[in-house]
Amino acid sequence: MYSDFCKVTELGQYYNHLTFCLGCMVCTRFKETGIINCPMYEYRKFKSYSGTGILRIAKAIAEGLIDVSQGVADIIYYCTECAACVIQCKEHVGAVHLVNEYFDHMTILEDLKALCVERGSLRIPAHRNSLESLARYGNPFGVARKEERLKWIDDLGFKVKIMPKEKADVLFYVGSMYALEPMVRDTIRSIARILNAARVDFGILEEEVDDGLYAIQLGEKALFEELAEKNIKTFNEVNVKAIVTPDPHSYNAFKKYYPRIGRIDPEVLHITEFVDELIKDGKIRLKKARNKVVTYHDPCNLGRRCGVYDAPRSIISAIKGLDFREMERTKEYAWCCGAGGGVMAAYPDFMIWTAKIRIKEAEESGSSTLITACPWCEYSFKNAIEAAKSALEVRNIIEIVEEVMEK
Amino acid sequence: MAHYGKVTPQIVKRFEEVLGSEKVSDNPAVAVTYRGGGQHGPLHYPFESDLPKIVCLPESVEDVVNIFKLANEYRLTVVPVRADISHMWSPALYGILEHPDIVVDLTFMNKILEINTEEGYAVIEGGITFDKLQPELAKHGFWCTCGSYPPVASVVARYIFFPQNWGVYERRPILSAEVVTPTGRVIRTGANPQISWLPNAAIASVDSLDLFLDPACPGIITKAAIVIHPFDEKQGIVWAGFPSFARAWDYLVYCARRYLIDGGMIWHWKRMVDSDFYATDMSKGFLKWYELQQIPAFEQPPPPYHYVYTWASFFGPSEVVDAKRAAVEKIVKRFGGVVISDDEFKETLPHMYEEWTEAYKPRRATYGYSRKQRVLTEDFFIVSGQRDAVVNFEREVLRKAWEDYGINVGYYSGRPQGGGRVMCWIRWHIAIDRMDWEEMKYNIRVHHELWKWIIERYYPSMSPPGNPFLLKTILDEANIKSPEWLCTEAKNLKSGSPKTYWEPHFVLRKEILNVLDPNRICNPFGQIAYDPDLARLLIREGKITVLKEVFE
Repeated sequence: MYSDFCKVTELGQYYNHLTFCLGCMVCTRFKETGIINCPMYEYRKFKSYSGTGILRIAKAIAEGLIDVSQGVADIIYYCTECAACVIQCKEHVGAVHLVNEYFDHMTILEDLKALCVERGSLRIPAHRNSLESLARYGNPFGVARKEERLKWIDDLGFKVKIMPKEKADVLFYVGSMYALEPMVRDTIRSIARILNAARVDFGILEEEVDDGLYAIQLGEKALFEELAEKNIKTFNEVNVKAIVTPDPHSYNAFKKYYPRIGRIDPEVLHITEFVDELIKDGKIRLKKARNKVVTYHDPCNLGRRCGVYDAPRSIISAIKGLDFREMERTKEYAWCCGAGGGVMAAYPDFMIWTAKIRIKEAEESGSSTLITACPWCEYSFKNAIEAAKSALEVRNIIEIVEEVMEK
Repeated sequence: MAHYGKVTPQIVKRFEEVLGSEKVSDNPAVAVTYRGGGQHGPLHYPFESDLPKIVCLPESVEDVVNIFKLANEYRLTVVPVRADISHMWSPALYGILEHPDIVVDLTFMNKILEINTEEGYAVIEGGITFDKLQPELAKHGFWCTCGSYPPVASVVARYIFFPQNWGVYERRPILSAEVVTPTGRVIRTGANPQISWLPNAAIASVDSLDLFLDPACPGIITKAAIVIHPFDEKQGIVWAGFPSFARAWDYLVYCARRYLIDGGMIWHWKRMVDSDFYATDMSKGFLKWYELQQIPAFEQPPPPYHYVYTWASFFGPSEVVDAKRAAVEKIVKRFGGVVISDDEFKETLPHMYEEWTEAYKPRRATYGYSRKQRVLTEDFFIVSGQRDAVVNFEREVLRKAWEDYGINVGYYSGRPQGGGRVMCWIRWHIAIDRMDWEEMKYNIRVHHELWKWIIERYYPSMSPPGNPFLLKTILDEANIKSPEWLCTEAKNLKSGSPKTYWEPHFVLRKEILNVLDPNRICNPFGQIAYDPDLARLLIREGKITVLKEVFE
């Protein structure tokens, strides 16, 4: 039934499953309403730019109807990989169980992207540069000097352990975005101060390697595997009890993708989970009040992908004075910030358009501050606020914790 | 297979100039999602059609008009699709173009133009979906019927194909419609009737059934006025038993023609009484084809059961429902039937009572799907024709499924339609809660292959519903004689495709009405759809324009 080409690719094994898709387009919706919750479908409007579209494209390739062409790449690289379609398909399609633990829209999307790379159909310059940079420098931002990653610790006022030369209980895995993007770098300084104040024995890696999720999101599976293998080896060698990361993308990579490559011995935690525990254990005391109306944006990689919804909300509820209001689309139904899946680099206009919608939602909730826990979301929102000339403030949850904690 | 027109980059550019480049795509990877009319349902499309060459996203009637004008200029075929386009059980199975040039995706013509709670209608654009309309209606204390449709289904498309109410079938959920004809002209037309195999479909009617996905694509519905219901409406159901099919049929037709009921069905006692047979039909435990042949379909039931059971439904304000119930119960007796009370039904047919109360309880949710379904698919191979031909079809399909693939296909029913015609449904359930993955995969593969086999073998004899009577009247009045296919598209059909079956009159129906007041979508003359004499009169008086150019 399917083409010879796909007999030897991973798409072939999914062929029967691809036929399960009803094409009902529920994947584009917010719960059982007519509100569209798929950014690329809302933006581009053709059915192909949706969860259904991705599966139909894969099916057509498997049947030999179309080839893995530039036209395919033009569509699939619009996907922010927010996985809202997966939740919708799982929870709101009554007739068919399409999604299971081995198969969902993202699995297919990543396979399609891998095919695009393999076939030379990925011609987006920004993505090619990112992949090249990942391969050469271990980060997607083209930063050649490894010292750049450690620059942020210079003005902390206390010493941070550098692993593996020094030993520590907790490995603080910073992530490329936090380490190299100036717009969000303050957050990692806040984290270091919080950990220091809570007397956590932590350290950072001297030569941190990118988590590799970006590689897989752009379709370079082999590069991802290479980076993952390096990281797994390092993580198991540094002999720590836990790995804490503030970047949901890294967290998603370690929790959901690395197990395919190898086992990570230490426990992996997102910073919100770790800080929430520190608060609950009384190691951090949140003394000062902040009288603000705030709302929280669930990062896709932390929420939908890894199921972390409670820890950030628990932290927010522990901060005195905050009037917390949920947006209509929240938790697993949150509207995406627009920065994921390589969109930030390839389609910045689309990213800002997507983020503007979230900004508006936050404003409609009556909030003056939009809290999030992801550098990509933060970056996207800050750009959108500037473009929309909104008065909304975007804050990383960790920065607020640092402001109000007893030092 | 040569195309009538050919899409060139210059033509694509023309579309982009007229509609805007963001509304036009010639990317084949975009086109795959619209292949086969963008149908919904993995197992329900028999055609492996060509990819459309251009996909357009109109946002206004003007856009649709422009698309048709360009299509005419370059002699390209047009297939309209909507948000979902689920065509299971619908004539669209026969109607999807195999060689589409342009697909018009109306998803974003999705405005609610009017909600009139006084007169009980809403005017909506063609791309409006249930999940968008229902919450808006709810704000006014109203709802529209949604049956078992997915929430993203286009209201207009689904009403055209499969009008449903309270889980059953409703007369005329579309009051009137605005249509852009293939010539790019905007007309307004009357209501669509019950689908033809239901009792009251015997009423002569002009309908818009085929406006959507006819092989010749005679137009695109851009707006429609639909019936909406207040939340406090009630539903009445009358169950009755009859000693013969003929009496049951006459009873339902009698009631339907007097607008006493909105839907009705006839069930053979075997289906109602025999819980084993019912369970077999509804679950994985299929009988083998040769076992099925041994079921004596026409044997008399043991007492106290009836030979056939009828089910009739009506709705409205409580006083109307009460009055209709009283009238319908009297008519049951007049036709020699017995009214079955709720208690009696529950006592004598407990398994059916449970099924029906669950399956046909009022569905007012946004979602048509009221529960997780255990069945992945059920297929209806609908064949209509003389009894012998249909029985042969059934046997061949069942035998092939069993002998070639070892699959037992659940047999459902052959339903007499009057005039010696029988419609056959064959149901094949793939039970997702009972089959393991490998078994499901196998079933799906076989399903595809069997579908193809059936289509190749039987396609020309598959019968779409039709209403030739009124068509002939109007054609005579308009002095149109045996026209060929309406639109250029028809010439693209290959042999074995609908051309061999579809008669001109069936296609001609679409363009014939230009209702009296074209500026009022919700027109009071929807009644014309049910009255050929009135239609004739209006044509003579020039109050209805038959668009001859469409037929020439």
